[in-house]
Amino acid sequence: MTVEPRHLQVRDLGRLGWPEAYALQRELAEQRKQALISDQLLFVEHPHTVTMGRNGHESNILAGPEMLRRAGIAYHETNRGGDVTYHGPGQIVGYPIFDLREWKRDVMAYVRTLEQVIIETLADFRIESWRNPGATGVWTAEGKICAIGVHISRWVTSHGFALNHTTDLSYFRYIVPCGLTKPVTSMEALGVTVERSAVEAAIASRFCALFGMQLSVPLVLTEVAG
Amino acid sequence: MDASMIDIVMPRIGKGVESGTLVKWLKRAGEPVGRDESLFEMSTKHVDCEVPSPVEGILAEVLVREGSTVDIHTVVARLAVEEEHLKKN
Repeated sequence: MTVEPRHLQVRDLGRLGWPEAYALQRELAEQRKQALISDQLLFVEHPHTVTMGRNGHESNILAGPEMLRRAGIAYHETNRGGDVTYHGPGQIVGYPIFDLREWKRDVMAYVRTLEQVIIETLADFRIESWRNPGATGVWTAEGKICAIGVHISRWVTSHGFALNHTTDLSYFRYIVPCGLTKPVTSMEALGVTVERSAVEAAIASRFCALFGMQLSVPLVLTEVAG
Repeated sequence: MDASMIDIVMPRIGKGVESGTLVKWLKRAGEPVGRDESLFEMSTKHVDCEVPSPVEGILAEVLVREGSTVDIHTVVARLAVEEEHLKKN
Protein backbone atom coordinates (compact mmCIF):
# COMPACT_ATOMS: atom_id res chain seq x y z
CA MET A 1 0.00 0.00 0.00
CA THR A 2 1.33 3.42 -0.88
CA VAL A 3 0.81 6.49 1.24
CA GLU A 4 -0.82 9.33 -0.64
CA PRO A 5 1.09 12.59 -0.28
CA ARG A 6 -0.82 15.30 1.56
CA HIS A 7 -2.43 17.88 -0.62
CA LEU A 8 -1.94 21.61 -0.21
CA GLN A 9 -4.48 23.99 -1.64
CA VAL A 10 -2.90 27.35 -2.40
CA ARG A 11 -5.09 30.42 -2.78
CA ASP A 12 -4.15 33.96 -3.61
CA LEU A 13 -6.74 36.24 -2.01
CA GLY A 14 -5.28 39.38 -3.57
CA ARG A 15 -5.71 42.65 -1.66
CA LEU A 16 -7.81 42.01 1.46
CA GLY A 17 -8.31 43.75 4.80
CA TRP A 18 -6.78 42.15 7.88
CA PRO A 19 -10.14 41.50 9.68
CA GLU A 20 -11.65 39.86 6.57
CA ALA A 21 -8.57 37.65 6.14
CA TYR A 22 -8.65 36.77 9.84
CA ALA A 23 -12.34 35.78 9.65
CA LEU A 24 -11.57 33.58 6.65
CA GLN A 25 -8.65 31.94 8.48
CA ARG A 26 -10.86 31.11 11.47
CA GLU A 27 -13.51 29.62 9.22
CA LEU A 28 -11.00 27.52 7.28
CA ALA A 29 -9.21 26.40 10.48
CA GLU A 30 -12.54 25.17 11.82
CA GLN A 31 -13.20 23.28 8.57
CA ARG A 32 -9.67 21.86 8.68
CA LYS A 33 -10.20 20.59 12.28
CA GLN A 34 -13.25 18.74 11.04
CA ALA A 35 -11.25 17.34 8.09
CA LEU A 36 -13.70 18.96 5.62
CA ILE A 37 -10.85 20.53 3.63
CA SER A 38 -7.18 19.81 2.92
CA ASP A 39 -4.30 21.89 4.24
CA GLN A 40 -4.38 25.44 2.89
CA LEU A 41 -1.86 28.13 2.12
CA LEU A 42 -3.46 31.56 1.74
CA PHE A 43 -1.58 34.44 0.16
CA VAL A 44 -2.83 37.94 0.81
CA GLU A 45 -1.73 41.55 0.55
CA HIS A 46 -3.05 43.75 3.35
CA PRO A 47 -3.63 47.50 3.27
CA HIS A 48 -1.59 49.47 5.85
CA THR A 49 -2.14 47.63 9.15
CA VAL A 50 -0.33 47.35 12.46
CA THR A 51 -1.04 44.20 14.49
CA MET A 52 -0.07 43.33 18.03
CA GLY A 53 0.78 39.75 19.04
CA ARG A 54 0.17 38.07 22.38
CA ASN A 55 3.69 38.76 23.59
CA GLY A 56 3.53 42.35 22.48
CA HIS A 57 4.18 45.57 24.32
CA GLU A 58 2.33 48.75 23.45
CA SER A 59 5.57 50.65 23.99
CA ASN A 60 6.73 49.06 20.73
CA ILE A 61 4.16 51.12 18.86
CA LEU A 62 5.82 54.46 18.43
CA ALA A 63 2.57 56.14 17.40
CA GLY A 64 -0.65 55.95 19.42
CA PRO A 65 -3.75 54.33 17.88
CA GLU A 66 -5.09 57.79 17.06
CA MET A 67 -1.93 58.77 15.19
CA LEU A 68 -1.97 55.45 13.33
CA ARG A 69 -5.57 56.09 12.34
CA ARG A 70 -4.72 59.55 11.04
CA ALA A 71 -1.84 58.08 9.04
CA GLY A 72 -4.38 55.71 7.43
CA ILE A 73 -3.09 52.64 9.27
CA ALA A 74 -5.53 50.13 10.78
CA TYR A 75 -4.68 48.65 14.19
CA HIS A 76 -5.66 45.18 15.45
CA GLU A 77 -4.76 43.03 18.43
CA THR A 78 -4.32 39.39 17.45
CA ASN A 79 -3.94 35.95 18.98
CA ARG A 80 -0.66 35.12 17.28
CA GLY A 81 2.70 34.73 19.00
CA GLY A 82 5.22 37.53 18.80
CA ASP A 83 5.20 41.28 19.21
CA VAL A 84 3.95 44.17 17.08
CA THR A 85 4.30 44.06 13.30
CA TYR A 86 3.37 46.07 10.21
CA HIS A 87 1.53 44.81 7.11
CA GLY A 88 1.04 46.76 3.92
CA PRO A 89 1.09 46.86 0.14
CA GLY A 90 4.06 45.11 -1.43
CA GLN A 91 4.29 42.58 1.37
CA ILE A 92 3.59 38.89 0.73
CA VAL A 93 1.58 37.59 3.66
CA GLY A 94 1.14 33.83 3.92
CA TYR A 95 -1.34 32.08 6.20
CA PRO A 96 -0.93 28.28 6.32
CA ILE A 97 -3.97 26.45 7.71
CA PHE A 98 -2.15 23.26 8.46
CA ASP A 99 -3.03 20.25 10.64
CA LEU A 100 0.08 19.40 12.67
CA ARG A 101 -1.46 16.12 13.84
CA GLU A 102 -0.71 14.73 10.41
CA TRP A 103 2.83 16.07 10.51
CA LYS A 104 5.20 16.07 13.53
CA ARG A 105 2.97 17.36 16.33
CA ASP A 106 5.82 19.71 17.16
CA VAL A 107 4.97 23.40 17.22
CA MET A 108 8.56 24.63 17.25
CA ALA A 109 9.53 22.32 14.40
CA TYR A 110 6.66 23.87 12.46
CA VAL A 111 7.95 27.42 13.09
CA ARG A 112 11.52 26.41 12.18
CA THR A 113 10.34 24.75 8.96
CA LEU A 114 8.29 27.82 8.06
CA GLU A 115 11.46 29.93 8.49
CA GLN A 116 13.30 27.41 6.30
CA VAL A 117 10.66 27.79 3.57
CA ILE A 118 11.40 31.54 3.45
CA ILE A 119 15.20 31.08 3.64
CA GLU A 120 15.16 28.64 0.69
CA THR A 121 12.73 30.80 -1.28
CA LEU A 122 15.01 33.82 -0.84
CA ALA A 123 17.99 31.68 -1.90
CA ASP A 124 16.06 30.95 -5.14
CA PHE A 125 16.31 34.69 -5.81
CA ARG A 126 19.96 34.83 -4.70
CA ILE A 127 19.27 36.47 -1.34
CA GLU A 128 21.21 35.04 1.59
CA SER A 129 19.19 34.91 4.81
CA TRP A 130 19.18 33.19 8.18
CA ARG A 131 17.49 32.77 11.55
CA ASN A 132 18.38 35.04 14.44
CA PRO A 133 18.78 33.12 17.71
CA GLY A 134 16.33 34.49 20.24
CA ALA A 135 14.14 36.24 17.64
CA THR A 136 11.56 34.93 15.21
CA GLY A 137 11.57 35.63 11.53
CA VAL A 138 14.15 35.66 8.78
CA TRP A 139 17.08 38.06 8.60
CA THR A 140 19.55 39.32 6.03
CA ALA A 141 22.72 41.41 6.22
CA GLU A 142 20.52 44.50 5.77
CA GLY A 143 17.97 43.59 8.45
CA LYS A 144 14.81 41.63 9.03
CA ILE A 145 13.01 40.66 5.82
CA CYS A 146 10.25 38.36 7.08
CA ALA A 147 8.17 38.33 10.27
CA ILE A 148 6.66 35.11 11.63
CA GLY A 149 3.87 34.78 14.18
CA VAL A 150 1.77 31.67 14.58
CA HIS A 151 -1.35 30.53 16.41
CA ILE A 152 -2.21 26.88 17.08
CA SER A 153 -5.64 25.65 18.07
CA ARG A 154 -6.11 21.91 18.49
CA TRP A 155 -3.01 21.33 16.31
CA VAL A 156 -4.33 23.47 13.43
CA THR A 157 -2.18 26.47 12.54
CA SER A 158 -3.23 29.99 11.60
CA HIS A 159 -1.47 33.31 11.06
CA GLY A 160 1.97 32.80 9.52
CA PHE A 161 4.57 34.93 7.79
CA ALA A 162 4.93 38.40 6.25
CA LEU A 163 7.70 38.70 3.67
CA ASN A 164 8.75 42.16 2.50
CA HIS A 165 8.74 42.01 -1.29
CA THR A 166 8.36 45.65 -2.41
CA THR A 167 7.07 46.99 0.95
CA ASP A 168 7.42 50.74 1.58
CA LEU A 169 9.80 50.35 4.52
CA SER A 170 9.17 53.88 5.79
CA TYR A 171 5.93 52.60 7.38
CA PHE A 172 7.98 50.57 9.86
CA ARG A 173 8.89 53.86 11.54
CA TYR A 174 5.57 53.67 13.40
CA ILE A 175 6.65 50.54 15.26
CA VAL A 176 9.65 48.75 16.70
CA PRO A 177 9.29 45.56 14.63
CA CYS A 178 8.82 42.64 17.00
CA GLY A 179 10.41 44.67 19.77
CA LEU A 180 13.78 44.87 18.07
CA THR A 181 15.40 48.13 17.13
CA LYS A 182 17.21 46.55 14.19
CA PRO A 183 16.44 47.67 10.64
CA VAL A 184 13.99 46.01 8.26
CA THR A 185 14.54 45.35 4.60
CA SER A 186 12.76 43.99 1.52
CA MET A 187 13.62 41.96 -1.58
CA GLU A 188 13.41 45.16 -3.61
CA ALA A 189 15.68 47.06 -1.19
CA LEU A 190 18.22 44.24 -1.62
CA GLY A 191 18.22 44.90 -5.36
CA VAL A 192 16.07 41.94 -6.43
CA THR A 193 13.34 42.80 -8.93
CA VAL A 194 10.92 39.92 -9.37
CA GLU A 195 7.17 39.53 -9.87
CA ARG A 196 5.09 38.90 -6.77
CA SER A 197 3.52 35.83 -8.43
CA ALA A 198 6.97 34.31 -8.98
CA VAL A 199 7.81 34.70 -5.29
CA GLU A 200 4.47 33.16 -4.26
CA ALA A 201 5.02 30.23 -6.61
CA ALA A 202 8.50 29.69 -5.16
CA ILE A 203 7.12 29.80 -1.58
CA ALA A 204 4.37 27.28 -2.44
CA SER A 205 6.91 24.98 -4.05
CA ARG A 206 9.34 25.17 -1.11
CA PHE A 207 6.46 24.74 1.33
CA CYS A 208 5.38 21.52 -0.39
CA ALA A 209 8.95 20.19 -0.56
CA LEU A 210 9.78 20.89 3.10
CA PHE A 211 6.46 19.72 4.54
CA GLY A 212 6.20 16.70 2.22
CA MET A 213 3.10 17.80 0.30
CA GLN A 214 1.95 18.21 -3.23
CA LEU A 215 -0.05 21.04 -4.73
CA SER A 216 -3.64 19.98 -5.27
CA VAL A 217 -4.32 22.61 -7.93
CA PRO A 218 -2.21 25.10 -9.83
CA LEU A 219 -1.81 28.46 -8.16
CA VAL A 220 -4.88 30.51 -9.03
CA LEU A 221 -6.10 33.94 -8.14
CA THR A 222 -9.29 33.81 -6.09
CA GLU A 223 -11.46 36.88 -5.91
CA VAL A 224 -12.98 37.41 -2.50
CA ALA A 225 -16.04 39.60 -2.27
CA GLY A 226 -15.99 42.50 0.18
CA MET B 1 -19.76 10.23 42.16
CA ASP B 2 -16.24 8.84 42.09
CA ALA B 3 -13.98 11.62 40.94
CA SER B 4 -10.20 11.89 40.72
CA MET B 5 -8.07 14.98 40.46
CA ILE B 6 -5.69 15.14 37.55
CA ASP B 7 -2.93 17.70 36.99
CA ILE B 8 -2.86 19.95 33.93
CA VAL B 9 0.66 21.12 33.09
CA MET B 10 2.25 23.76 30.89
CA PRO B 11 2.93 21.60 27.83
CA ARG B 12 6.18 21.19 25.96
CA ILE B 13 5.41 22.59 22.51
CA GLY B 14 8.74 21.76 20.93
CA LYS B 15 12.46 21.36 21.40
CA GLY B 16 14.23 24.30 22.96
CA VAL B 17 11.14 25.88 24.53
CA GLU B 18 11.50 25.58 28.29
CA SER B 19 8.79 27.97 29.47
CA GLY B 20 5.47 29.45 28.42
CA THR B 21 3.28 32.39 29.39
CA LEU B 22 -0.26 31.61 30.47
CA VAL B 23 -2.03 34.28 28.44
CA LYS B 24 -5.66 33.57 29.17
CA TRP B 25 -7.89 31.05 30.88
CA LEU B 26 -10.63 29.98 28.49
CA LYS B 27 -12.54 28.24 31.32
CA ARG B 28 -13.20 29.40 34.86
CA ALA B 29 -12.80 27.38 38.05
CA GLY B 30 -15.94 25.30 38.53
CA GLU B 31 -16.78 25.16 34.83
CA PRO B 32 -17.13 21.87 32.98
CA VAL B 33 -14.74 21.19 30.12
CA GLY B 34 -14.99 18.59 27.37
CA ARG B 35 -12.22 16.37 26.09
CA ASP B 36 -10.14 18.30 23.50
CA GLU B 37 -11.91 21.53 24.40
CA SER B 38 -9.47 24.44 24.83
CA LEU B 39 -8.62 25.11 28.50
CA PHE B 40 -6.16 27.97 28.26
CA GLU B 41 -4.05 29.92 25.85
CA MET B 42 -0.28 29.90 26.20
CA SER B 43 2.26 31.99 24.37
CA THR B 44 5.96 32.02 23.63
CA LYS B 45 8.03 34.41 21.54
CA HIS B 46 7.14 32.42 18.47
CA VAL B 47 3.69 30.96 18.83
CA ASP B 48 0.39 31.32 20.56
CA CYS B 49 -1.30 28.06 21.37
CA GLU B 50 -4.67 26.96 22.72
CA VAL B 51 -4.12 24.05 25.07
CA PRO B 52 -6.89 21.44 25.05
CA SER B 53 -8.10 19.38 27.97
CA PRO B 54 -6.96 15.75 27.73
CA VAL B 55 -10.17 14.53 29.33
CA GLU B 56 -13.74 15.57 30.17
CA GLY B 57 -14.08 17.01 33.67
CA ILE B 58 -14.56 20.08 35.80
CA LEU B 59 -11.90 22.75 36.16
CA ALA B 60 -11.47 22.40 39.92
CA GLU B 61 -8.45 24.56 40.68
CA VAL B 62 -6.61 27.27 38.76
CA LEU B 63 -3.02 27.47 40.04
CA VAL B 64 -1.35 29.91 37.66
CA ARG B 65 -2.58 33.44 37.02
CA GLU B 66 -2.99 35.00 33.59
CA GLY B 67 0.20 36.73 32.53
CA SER B 68 2.51 34.40 34.50
CA THR B 69 5.44 32.74 32.77
CA VAL B 70 6.21 29.26 34.10
CA ASP B 71 8.53 26.39 33.19
CA ILE B 72 7.12 23.59 31.08
CA HIS B 73 5.58 20.75 33.09
CA THR B 74 4.55 23.19 35.85
CA VAL B 75 1.09 22.23 37.14
CA VAL B 76 -1.22 25.07 36.11
CA ALA B 77 -4.59 23.58 37.09
CA ARG B 78 -6.38 20.55 38.47
CA LEU B 79 -9.34 18.87 36.85
CA ALA B 80 -11.93 16.82 38.70
CA VAL B 81 -12.61 13.84 36.48
CA GLU B 82 -15.17 11.08 36.97
CA GLU B 83 -13.71 7.59 36.97
CA GLU B 84 -15.70 6.57 33.91
CA HIS B 85 -14.08 9.35 31.83
CA LEU B 86 -10.60 8.37 32.99
CA LYS B 87 -11.15 4.81 31.82
CA LYS B 88 -12.00 6.02 28.32
CA ASN B 89 -8.46 7.33 27.91
